[in-house]
Amino acid sequence: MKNRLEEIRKKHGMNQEELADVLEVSRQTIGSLENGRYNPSIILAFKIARYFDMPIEEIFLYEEEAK
Amino acid sequence: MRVKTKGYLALAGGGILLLLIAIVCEGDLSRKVQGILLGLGSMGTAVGFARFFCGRFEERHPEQRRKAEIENRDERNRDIRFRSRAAAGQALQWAVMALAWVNILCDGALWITLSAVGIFCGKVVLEAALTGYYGSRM
Repeated sequence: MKNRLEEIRKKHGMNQEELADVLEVSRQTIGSLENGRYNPSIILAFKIARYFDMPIEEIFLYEEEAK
Repeated sequence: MRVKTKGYLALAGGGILLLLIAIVCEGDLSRKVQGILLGLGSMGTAVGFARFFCGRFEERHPEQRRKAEIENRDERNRDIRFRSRAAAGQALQWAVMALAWVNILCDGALWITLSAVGIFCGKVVLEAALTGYYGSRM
């Protein structure tokens, strides 16, 4: 799953540490999310979407795996 | 938090008491009892003091405590911990089975082979039971 988290975070003028603090997750989790190495739980995805006041599908882009 | 740190201090005190009993009453106690007292005393003292000083540190540095709590609750960290535990369990299970094979090849005692196979089977059964349990809960 791809996401636009890094782009949105930078647009809000935040660094990873600040976003992690607000979402109560570790900075490494934010880094991994942005790199696409980790897919968040639905709860964290909602937290992120609510924080940025955006629909989830505008932040996380689901792509079907190539068969 | 203060009650918690006092509890740990009491644990450390209890540990020291057990160590003192083991040392002072050396002649009156059997070696087994003395060994148990020394073991429990050392463990109580070490765990008690370690937790006490960690608690005190966290009391004085609430920001550090919050960070540690976040790190502990963090979903990615939990995922990593669960995966590591599962992989370690799997590796240990096959290491036990390897031990059984080595024991057979070395013509070792039968009870070692049977114990190793028992542990292997026990893990398989426990895993199946837990899979069923968590399956019914989710």
